[in-house]
Amino acid sequence: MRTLAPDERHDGVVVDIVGGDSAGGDQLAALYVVNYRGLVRLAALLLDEPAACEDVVQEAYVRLAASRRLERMRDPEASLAYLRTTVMNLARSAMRRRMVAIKYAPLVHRADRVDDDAIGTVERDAVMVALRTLPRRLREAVALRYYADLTEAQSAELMGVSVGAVKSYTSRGLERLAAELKVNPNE
Amino acid sequence: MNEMTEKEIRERLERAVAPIDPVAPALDVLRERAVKLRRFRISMGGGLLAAAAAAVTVAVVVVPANGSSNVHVAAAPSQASLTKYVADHGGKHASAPLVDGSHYVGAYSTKNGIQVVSFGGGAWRADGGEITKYGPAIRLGDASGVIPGHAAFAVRTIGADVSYFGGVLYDADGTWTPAHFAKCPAHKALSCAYAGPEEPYGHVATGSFVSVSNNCLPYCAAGTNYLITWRWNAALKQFGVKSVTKYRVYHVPN
Repeated sequence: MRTLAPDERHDGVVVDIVGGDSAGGDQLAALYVVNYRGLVRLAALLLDEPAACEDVVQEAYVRLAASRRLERMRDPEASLAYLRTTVMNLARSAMRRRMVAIKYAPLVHRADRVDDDAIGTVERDAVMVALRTLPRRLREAVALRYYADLTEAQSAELMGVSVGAVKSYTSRGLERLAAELKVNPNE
Repeated sequence: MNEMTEKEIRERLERAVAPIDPVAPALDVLRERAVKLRRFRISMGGGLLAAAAAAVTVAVVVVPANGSSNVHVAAAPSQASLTKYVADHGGKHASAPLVDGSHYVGAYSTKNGIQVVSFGGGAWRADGGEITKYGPAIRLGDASGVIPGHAAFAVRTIGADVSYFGGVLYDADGTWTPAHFAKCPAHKALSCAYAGPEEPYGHVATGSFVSVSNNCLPYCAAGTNYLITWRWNAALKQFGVKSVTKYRVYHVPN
């Protein structure tokens, strides 16, 4: 971890942001090392465009570092929950923008696109293709319950809906996913 | 349960995203972005009033300064000629021509920084290399008089989102140099002026360079804005704080 120059230690703003030599800075580094990849993968399930998921996750970390939340949140679980919520909100915003772009942009043939190998593999996966056909809430519920391994209560809090709604979304999501995979079982 | 078991869907989701193995950027890179975001939020505390002050500044930045009466100054090149030169060279945001000793100079924003040009023999030419310390500028004005005896441009750059930072690019005896701002001295309520080439909402107002900072106490939206007036220290070749005055107080219900 970068240590601060003596000058920076006196600059309240910088010390506050980077966490300085406080527990907040260590906590951010720990959160980053342990959870970055998992959050990128979660974002990939929530977004139509796997290439955008790293941007979303990095932005979530930037917002966490810029806020003073780490000082108040000593529980790593709370920090992780904040990151997950931010990732989900940013993914929702990105999807909204993407819908508008798709609506007005000229059609680009998929064959013309140059895909990164890993991204291409993910995009072609039958489950990912099926997941993309689900409405947003169903998709979020499935991703949070079965990929992020959150409980129904945790998923409900993150999605801002009731536990009953999560149960319903999950059940319907699985049902539609299964139907979709039956039609297109390319695995 | 549906046709797919929970275990099955877990495994398939896991397999689907397994090829994604992102290379995380250095944490310091994200921290730097966080610093910019934080500065932006702090600056936004005083956003509206600072923007109003900046609007006043716009009126004073476009008039070329007069040269010394002992120096012969060539006929002034036109703004149109500078704008055309800048457009031909792929630049943007041309300044107005301003006097630098016995000749005229101008500046414009390039993709990565700022290029200063000088006028001689009826044509504009690059004066030194591209200055990349600020990154691209969004406005270049006249800051003559802010650093006595030196021609200077007021540089404005965009911040993390839409806030701006301001600095001064001056002719340090033949070399165009970003002026340094010293750290704000101890002040009972202000610890957020930045040492470096730019200051939040930095701009020229009534012959001085000023900036606006928010102390974020108890938090930014309820913090106090301070107008910092900077003075050039010729011995140290840097700006130091001349005065710090309260700019506006946001009242918060208890």
